[in-house]
Amino acid sequence: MTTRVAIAPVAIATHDLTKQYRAKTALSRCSIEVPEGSVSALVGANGTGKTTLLQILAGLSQATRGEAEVLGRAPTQDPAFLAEVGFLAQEIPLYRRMTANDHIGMGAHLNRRWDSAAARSRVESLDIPLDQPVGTLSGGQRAQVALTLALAKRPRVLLLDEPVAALDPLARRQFIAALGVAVADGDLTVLLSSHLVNDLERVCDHMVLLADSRPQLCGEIDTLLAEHKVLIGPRRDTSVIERAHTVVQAETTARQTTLLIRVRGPLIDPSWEVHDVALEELVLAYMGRAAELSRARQVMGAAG
Amino acid sequence: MTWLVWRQHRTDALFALGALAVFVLVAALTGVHMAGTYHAALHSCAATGSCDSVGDHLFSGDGAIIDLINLTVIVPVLIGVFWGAPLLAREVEQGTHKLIWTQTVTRRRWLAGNVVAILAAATFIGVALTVTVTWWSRTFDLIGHNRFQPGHFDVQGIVPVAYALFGATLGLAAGALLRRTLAALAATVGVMVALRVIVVNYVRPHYVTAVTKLVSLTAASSGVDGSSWPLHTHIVDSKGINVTDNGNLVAAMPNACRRLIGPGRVGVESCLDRYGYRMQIMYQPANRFWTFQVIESGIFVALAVVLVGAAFVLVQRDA
Repeated sequence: MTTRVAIAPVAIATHDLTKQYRAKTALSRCSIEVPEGSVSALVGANGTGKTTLLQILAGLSQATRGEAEVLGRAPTQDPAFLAEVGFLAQEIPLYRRMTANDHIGMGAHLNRRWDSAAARSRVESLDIPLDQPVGTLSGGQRAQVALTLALAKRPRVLLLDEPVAALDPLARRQFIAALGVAVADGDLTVLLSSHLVNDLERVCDHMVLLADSRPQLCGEIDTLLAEHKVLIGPRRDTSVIERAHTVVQAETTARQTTLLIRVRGPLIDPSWEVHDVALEELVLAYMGRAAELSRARQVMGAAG
Repeated sequence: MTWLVWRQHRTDALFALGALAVFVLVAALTGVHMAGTYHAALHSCAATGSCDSVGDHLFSGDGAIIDLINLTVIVPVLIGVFWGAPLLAREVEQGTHKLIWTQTVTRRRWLAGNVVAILAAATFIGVALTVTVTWWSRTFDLIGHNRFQPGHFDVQGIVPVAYALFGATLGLAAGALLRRTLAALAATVGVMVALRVIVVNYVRPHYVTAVTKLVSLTAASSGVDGSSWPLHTHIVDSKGINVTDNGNLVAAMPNACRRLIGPGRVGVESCLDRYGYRMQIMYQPANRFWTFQVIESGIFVALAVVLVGAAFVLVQRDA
């Protein structure tokens, strides 16, 4: 199901990456590629392994099996690796009693490359007080401080785990805008996870869709959208379409059939109305299909 | 790392320093006062020739300060609970380990910086406490108290430093293993108390083979000075067989002596003496104090080294 798009050199690559917790498989044979300089969305429902994948890439967790490479290096406890990778965890962790200034000072002591001046002016430009404990700031301000820290490290790969999940719509928009500016500035690859697809469309050019602990889609968003079509037509047998294309989702009412397909060749049958697909629609269709496959597997497993 | 450790813990450090200063001041004032009382008592008893019992009544009104001095035995537990246990566990609870472990510093170096700081702080506090308490206790020691007793041995000499190091590393390792501050705190207190009870009661008496001494049952004194540590005292018969512990002293003693037992009768001790019965005393002489201090310190420092090693292994687990 995974399409690999190899255009630019690869910044992040995983091969059969698997993470097994005691009773649960958080990530199962995950193989993805993220090109250098891209802003990639890591999309999926809760509990599909997004956090696990990002933590493995950041060197915070160890994979059970498989390989991961970030800028050609396996994630390890090695300053040379750590210097290249910025990470912002879902909880937006900061020392609540320390001020933004303290955090910037801390970064200066713990990193080789560190842009204190840029970090300070960025925080100031957002009207966030530099000398107040971050515990007293709003959620949006804290997220901005945390993003500032991740950027001040001047990483070449930035991994953001649900950075906008806790933010109100305005703060969310500001955060995404800030990220867009940061990406435009330099040679930076971003992989950010979210279950809110609409926010990501604004800033992302690539997408990795995880569902059921596996990647379902991986590629450039424009290409993926162009490759998928919605077909609407009178109710009928769909086996002709199924042979020529991949049907991701099929909905049938008494009179009409709606198919979301991945186009594998020319669409010749003129009785189908062909529509473009929206990103959210596409994502939901793949998530729904993964859930169905997972259920089917469980039933088969129980029967066998 | 130094910058971060200081920024994170400067409030704790200053608070600890303040508490320590207050303690040293109280100990200094009372220590000088008690020394004065002792020397005055020596002067007055020399006049009446009653100096043998000068220590019996002295300082009976100083219970509060004596309790305070004895309480310093819990300082290593406090170091473990307030500094050791949260060191890693609180970072994990607040999620800040994900912030700090993704800077350009390996976990090993992050931990090393913190371990050096906490060990330095524990050493400093341990040394300050033991110097103060050992100095404060010198008047007591002059009176000839048994310095092996927990209230004395555990707060003097070099063992307080070893305990402080052990407490700090126990908390650290518990936090690294459990990753929850409260659980690590409970584990630290539990293990520390259990280990100390076991060591004091079952291990410490056997660091060096005890000295055995036989004395006559009618002897005026036990023949062991008051600053030694008596471990076991029992009566043996002429063949050296212990007749106290199995409860058959009366059954085993000669008829001539048994007749002397009872209300209003005297002389059973001198009777047994004549038949070769003796008091057997097993004790640790006072001059072994430093040997015991070195052995016990060695044990706790060795455990601390193991715990630090465990923390370095545990910190590598998934965040």
